Amino acid sequence: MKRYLSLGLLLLVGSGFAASAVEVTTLSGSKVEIFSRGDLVDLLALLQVAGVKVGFSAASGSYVASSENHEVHFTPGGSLAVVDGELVSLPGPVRQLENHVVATVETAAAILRPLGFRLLGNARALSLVAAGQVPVVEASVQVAGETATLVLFGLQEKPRVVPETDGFRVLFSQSVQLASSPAGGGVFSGVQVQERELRFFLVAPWQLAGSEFQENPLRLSLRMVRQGAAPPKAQARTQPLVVLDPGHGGEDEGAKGQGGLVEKNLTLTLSRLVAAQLQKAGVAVRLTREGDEGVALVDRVALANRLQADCFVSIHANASPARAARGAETYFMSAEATDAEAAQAAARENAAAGDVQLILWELAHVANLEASSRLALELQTRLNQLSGIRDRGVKQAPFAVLTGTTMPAVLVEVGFLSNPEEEVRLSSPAEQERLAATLAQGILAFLRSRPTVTPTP
Amino acid sequence: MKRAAALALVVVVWVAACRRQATAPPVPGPTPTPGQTTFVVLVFPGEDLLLHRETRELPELPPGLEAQARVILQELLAGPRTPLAPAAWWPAEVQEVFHDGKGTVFVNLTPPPPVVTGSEAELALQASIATTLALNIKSVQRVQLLFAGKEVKTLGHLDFSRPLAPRWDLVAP
Ligand SMILES: [Zn+2]
Repeated sequence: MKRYLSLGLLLLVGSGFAASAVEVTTLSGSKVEIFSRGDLVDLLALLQVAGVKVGFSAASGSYVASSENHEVHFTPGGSLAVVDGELVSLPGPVRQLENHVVATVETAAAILRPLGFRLLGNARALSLVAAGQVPVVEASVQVAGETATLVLFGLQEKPRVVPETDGFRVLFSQSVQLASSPAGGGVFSGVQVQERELRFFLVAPWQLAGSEFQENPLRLSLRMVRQGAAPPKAQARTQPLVVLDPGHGGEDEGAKGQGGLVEKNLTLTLSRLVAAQLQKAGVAVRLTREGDEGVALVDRVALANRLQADCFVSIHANASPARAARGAETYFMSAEATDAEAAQAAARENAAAGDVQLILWELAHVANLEASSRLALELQTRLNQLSGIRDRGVKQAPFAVLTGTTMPAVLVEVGFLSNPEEEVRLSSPAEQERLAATLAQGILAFLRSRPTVTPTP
Repeated sequence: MKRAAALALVVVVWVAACRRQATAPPVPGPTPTPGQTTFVVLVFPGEDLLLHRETRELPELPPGLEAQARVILQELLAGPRTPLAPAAWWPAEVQEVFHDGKGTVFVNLTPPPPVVTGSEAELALQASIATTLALNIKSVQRVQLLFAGKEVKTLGHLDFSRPLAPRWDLVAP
């Protein structure tokens, strides 16, 4: 069906591109130069250096790179690839530049990874490493106010952490590589890789406060605090914290009722009412938006994660093509998006995209699945009573705004704006008060049921 | 493996083609043999928020998973004949269907209007398409919806960026 032409690759080894070449350390340790321009590197040359077979279909304009057991199809101009038959998003597009097929280092790494290679470095110096040859440690940093967490991934052993006056060392029993230096919001001044150790230099006044290992996959979390700053969450917070997420906002109005009730306005009103009820009960509350502004879903999740909230409740109003549909629905994250296998798959995909942070979130979310279902049940049971619906249970679905939350998280649809009767009901301030009180009661019941937190009644 | 690779390549080519032109070339429709018919089961959302079955007698389906899926989805998107709700909240049409050879079907739909609807509508769309395909074609395990040839992270609520399984839990008894 497809006619593959053998590809005569022009490998620009030492070809005088002094101003637009990047040095690549090959698997054997030798160094070659390949074409680069800005952040873009010659993808086909990299594949050639790795010894990967590359074919080209003139009919389709796409390339296939194949190793012994894996195949990656990609097309210049596209940011999708097919890896072993599965469509995946690349971090960025593959491009045609002059006579070269180029991509960012991140995108090139995502194409090389399924073929069994790691690409380390940046557009100024690159190293190709066969997967499994030398453990490659990935580092990510999350800064939340006065604390920061560095997580080291890709560990094949439990290294030793040795504090130093200006940072710390992480000691391994064998050689390691670091995928990239952690970009860490002013926490680190530098990182050195010295065969069996990673040496992290901290910016004053940051100090190492503790470390712990987590399993599946093995990873090391190192906690840093800004010297003289307030101690971290557990000691600092005396009251539980709930993040309420009024759905939509700004240009995204959400669903609209025939009578003119707009979802984004209703969700904000309800969230403010719920917040007031919770605060009266001694619970701290943050809203993901305070007014009518657009906030990206990922930023709503990031806020809750950064604050280390005790739970996250996204508030919405529904619409359905079934006009008579009525009643509230409460969702937590779909099992298929959070089961262990899916989380690991997501972790692998995300790692390919260089987004280690997301891996953490996915794994943390799995751990919170059971608590999320309890929170959903506390809310749905009460909402059923309010609307006179007896048997509606909680549901699971892959909601984008629940993806990545690291605490119990649910999405509540308080009713259907597409149902004219419900719209009238939801427009009523008295009904809004009742709904808010119901949601607050459900959240409080959930907080009280947890072993470690006792909200003031 | 060869078949998977061929199908994968088709997807890449197709995605590239979609990028180059707004409308992809039409896929040939079914060519039924006169007189022969087959039954397919479609599921549509009801006001109880469950999926309800409707059985249709159609001319015998054309050979090939993708062509069959296309015919079945065209029938689904044409809407229910009973007082159920449509699977899509806009007049959606199937532009292409591709199978990766491993149970995942990519369904490319004409895009919805740029106005957010409710999560129930999004769930009903995904669930009725994935469940209908899996009910009629045994090898279908997951379905990823694409809109105007593009992978979409979300239409406002659900995460459409990955293939999703049929929702047997939502099918009315
Ligand atoms: Zn909504």
